[in-house]
Amino acid sequence: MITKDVIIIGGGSTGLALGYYLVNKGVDDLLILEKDYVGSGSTGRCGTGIRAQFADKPTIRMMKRAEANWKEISSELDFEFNRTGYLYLHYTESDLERYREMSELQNSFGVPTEILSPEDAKEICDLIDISEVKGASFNPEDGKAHPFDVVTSFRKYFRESEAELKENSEVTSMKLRRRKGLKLVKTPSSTYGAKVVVNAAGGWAPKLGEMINLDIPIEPYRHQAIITEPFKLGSIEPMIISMHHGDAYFTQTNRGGIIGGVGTPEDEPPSYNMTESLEFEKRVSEAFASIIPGLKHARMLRHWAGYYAMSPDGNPLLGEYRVPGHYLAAGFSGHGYMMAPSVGEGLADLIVNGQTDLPLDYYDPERVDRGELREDALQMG
Amino acid sequence: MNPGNKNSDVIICRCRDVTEEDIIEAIRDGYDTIELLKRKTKVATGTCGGRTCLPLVRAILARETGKSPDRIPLPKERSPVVPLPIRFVAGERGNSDDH
Repeated sequence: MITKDVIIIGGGSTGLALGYYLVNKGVDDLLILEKDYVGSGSTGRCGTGIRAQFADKPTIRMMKRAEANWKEISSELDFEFNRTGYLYLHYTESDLERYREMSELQNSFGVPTEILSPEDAKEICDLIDISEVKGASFNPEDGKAHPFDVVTSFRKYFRESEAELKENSEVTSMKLRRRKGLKLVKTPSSTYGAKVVVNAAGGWAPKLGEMINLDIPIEPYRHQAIITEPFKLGSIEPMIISMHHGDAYFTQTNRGGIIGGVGTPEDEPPSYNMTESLEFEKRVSEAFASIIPGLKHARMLRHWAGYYAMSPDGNPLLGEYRVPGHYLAAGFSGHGYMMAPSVGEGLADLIVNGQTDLPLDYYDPERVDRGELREDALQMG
Repeated sequence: MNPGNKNSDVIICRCRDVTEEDIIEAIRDGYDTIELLKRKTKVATGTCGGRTCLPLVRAILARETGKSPDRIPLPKERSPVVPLPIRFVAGERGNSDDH
């Protein structure tokens, strides 16, 4: 058995960012186990967006910090984090009013969301059809980063650091040795032991829980996305959101394609199904073409599915769970990628120092056992 | 691959303008599977869906890593099979100039 100080299971944005902050805090004896390749789960399938426009205080704080951390990490690891903003388009007065109130809450935490007229929204992206738009909310500090850039940059970072990132290393079993506090983690090639094990396996987190007879209240819901052929950079700078068009979101990546999707029908049950559906292609096409008519002519290049790993209240499960030294960093319900850098910082603080200035208490996974559910974090993009 | 030319002259992926040299450098930096090469170099993510370049990428990977080509898996093919104008999918009748 090979012993480590900390083992992280999951080489997606969460596990990688947590590993990065642990190394920064001096934990070098660290192992990240990834069942396939970095970002092969929901990270590489995400919509690329990063936003602080949320409706509840803890998530606004987490995302404000995450954006600052994204800026720092992107400059240190040398990948693009483009603060091109999130532009929510509102097509009814009541939505506009709701988002106006939300923007005031965001402003009180230093998130500079503004309410814009339809004409001002068009200034930000002149391809939008504003004939039905009543107004918009825009936070210029929100942005995007390409998950392919992010995971390859972290991969390079771990190749050059003392910490170890092992791909093609699926965890096949786990055991708890309560007396010594060791958790044993087996892959097809080795057995590892550590006092601290973090489950950062996204939609697959419950499968790891089953190995140690823990019920982890997360369910994978399929979400699909598409990308178009590449266009001239700068065509669609912000992430554009419309709840009016079936929760549509899209933006242009730094590789030129327009990436995005629409929401999953509410009656679709959770499952590990990762196939694409024609029904989705039709809905996403209708939505994109009515928000930006010019997109009618864009050609769809690829279409794929990933998971929203949903917790019972739509908020992540972060922290120690039922067994000392057994941590969860999962159940992000669609926001794991964007939140990864502050989750990584906060959890690394908890693991190393036993405390953090970030509001991680709010995401205590045992709240579910206690029946203390939070209000749903604002879904969308 | 083409002994008369430098690696930097050989375009492997013409959609995303990736050269043989880009691929070889990435492999030497540890991006040693096709999935990782796609993410690092953009190879095979262009309009042809990798139909032109993937056999070449596989051949370079085999040569550089000493693996047999049939042990190098190709990425999953994604829908749509050919790039499809969004308005066709949205149900609008298209013009022939899209082809």
